Amino acid sequence: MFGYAVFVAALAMFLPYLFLIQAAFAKAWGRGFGLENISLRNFHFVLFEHGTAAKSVLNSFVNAGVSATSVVILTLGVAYIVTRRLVPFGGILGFLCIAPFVIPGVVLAIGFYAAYAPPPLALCGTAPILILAFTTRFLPIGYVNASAAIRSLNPEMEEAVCVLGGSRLTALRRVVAPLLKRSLLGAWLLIFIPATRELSAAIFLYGPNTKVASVMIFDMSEEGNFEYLAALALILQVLTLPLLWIGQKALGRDFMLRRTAT
Amino acid sequence: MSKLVLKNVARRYGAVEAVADFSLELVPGEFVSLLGPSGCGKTTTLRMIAGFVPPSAGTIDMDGRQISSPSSVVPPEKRRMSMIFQSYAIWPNMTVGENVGFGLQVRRLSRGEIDRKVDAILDVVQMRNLKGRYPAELSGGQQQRVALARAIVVEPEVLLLDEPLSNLDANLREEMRFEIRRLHDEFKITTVYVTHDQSEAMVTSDRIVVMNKGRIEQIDTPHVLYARPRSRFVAGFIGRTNFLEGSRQGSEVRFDGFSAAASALEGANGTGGLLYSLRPQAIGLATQKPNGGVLAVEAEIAGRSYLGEYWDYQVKPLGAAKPLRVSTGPNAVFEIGTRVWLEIDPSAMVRVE
Ligand SMILES: Nc1ncnc2c1ncn2[C@@H]1O[C@H](COP(=O)(O)OP(=O)(O)O)[C@@H](O)[C@H]1O
Ligand SMILES: [Mg+2]
Repeated sequence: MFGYAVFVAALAMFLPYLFLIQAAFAKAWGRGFGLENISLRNFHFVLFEHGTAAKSVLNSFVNAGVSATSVVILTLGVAYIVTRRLVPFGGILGFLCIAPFVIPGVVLAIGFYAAYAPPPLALCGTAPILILAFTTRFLPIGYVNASAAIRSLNPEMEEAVCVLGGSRLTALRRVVAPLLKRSLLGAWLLIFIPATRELSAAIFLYGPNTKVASVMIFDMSEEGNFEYLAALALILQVLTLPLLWIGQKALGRDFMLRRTAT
Repeated sequence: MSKLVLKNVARRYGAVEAVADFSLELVPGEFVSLLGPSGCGKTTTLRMIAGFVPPSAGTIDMDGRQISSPSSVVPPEKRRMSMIFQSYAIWPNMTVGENVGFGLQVRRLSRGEIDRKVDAILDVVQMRNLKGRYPAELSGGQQQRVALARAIVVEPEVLLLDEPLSNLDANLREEMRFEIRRLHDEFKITTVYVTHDQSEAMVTSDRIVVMNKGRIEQIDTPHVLYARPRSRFVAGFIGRTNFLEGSRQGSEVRFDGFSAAASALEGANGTGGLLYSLRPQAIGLATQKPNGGVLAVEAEIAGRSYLGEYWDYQVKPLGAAKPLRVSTGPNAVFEIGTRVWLEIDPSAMVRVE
């Protein structure tokens, strides 16, 4: 059993990673694992010499961060309204949030392109259109998470605030938000990380100044620059891993929420 | 003047009539229980009083001011009431002290005054030493005490409790009943207490409202409710009882295995079926034929169970189809098959509908 698990893990993780790392440090990846084949030249090139590679990583992170944050805030609001039945026909709102899930990224991108590229908006190639597209793409993940989180909260917890004289806003601020901060952080990471790699929508919507890392990597593979590609990919990995680690630490440490009443 | 007045309050959910024609007045400082089986509309009534649910008919007044009607409802946060929920609804992200102080904070009291009041109330519920703990670190009973402290510390106009003890184990439940009554005696807050447990209602309440299928069956003190139930439902729900079906024959009423003079029985001259409730405790057992004002019925012990605090006998009057249940003290021992005399006081027989 254990052997099998290791084998699967190896196939899925170690082997591709091994070759990725090898390529990133190689002078030429075809020459194998020898010591004489190791250098930091690829990293130096990608970070300092290449015109847009470093910028593309920054773009990826900024776009993903803004998108993840807006998705979490938007879906929290909608999920709260829908779950607590604050408006009639809330179910439709909820469905709209999940709908993008069935739309392929490419189709979504073309839709965005058609809607926002022509004047007067003329957003094509700008950061806002990328952020809008990412926000839409990841709305379903955010919504499913937010609505599960809110449903796990007993509404009596908020009613207790109201009875004691607090408004619904007080309840949200003092009770709902603190109790959900853990699941919301989780949802944020769940959106942020894939958003840094999003390719299918980005490839249609980027402009000269808004190229993101995934598109950059795709370009490099087209050109056959596997060493640079590997180095850039590795940089992306190394930058995201600590986030995951911080996230896990934060989630595990939140002992107060151990027994969130259901 | 009445503290809280419910006038013909009703609530429908689609075709379901959750509460119908509910009228009740509470005097200041009174402790009233809503008692009834699950689904009879107790929670709905309580939530209408709290302002979470608008009535579909009728009105609710507090201190002479209307707070609920089908067209306008003062929201819960403006009612200055407190409520204890079945789930306790203690906020897990706040310490015991923060939970209890919350209502005072919302009322914008000064830091020092909040501290003083929180400490005082935590002393009352014996939780002062746990002030800095988080709810996840408390037992069920301790969480319950926090909920009580949090509700009382704001000195509410009315205190509402929805089955507050149903999540506790039996021993703790019994202890907390007395605790709740003790707090009421100390603070004299007008209280509406919802429960499906009759002994909980009996221990805590000044008056009990027995509900069935959304309607009020009877409102009375615990003693009257037990001694003088008005309906078959109330007699059967509060304590155990024998139901005796009678038929009028001349000046007598015939029951299964014995008969009684109509003049001695309550309501025997009324119309309709003659159904009587007779508590097992109200029947005496004797080996000799008793004399004097009581009805003496010769009978045989048909079955018995020993319950420590009392004997539960099944006793069949000679010629009767069904036995009666009779409770006696633990020292009154009769073997099965023994001939005995039943002593029935006709005035203890209560006519029910
Ligand atoms: N929000 C609601 N929607 C539909 N039906 C409800 C709702 N709340 C209560 N009911 C119905 O009203 C009746 C009374 O419920 P409830 O007041 O909770 O009873 P209890 O507290 O005595 O157990 C039940 O039949 C219940 O199904
Ligand atoms: Mg209930």
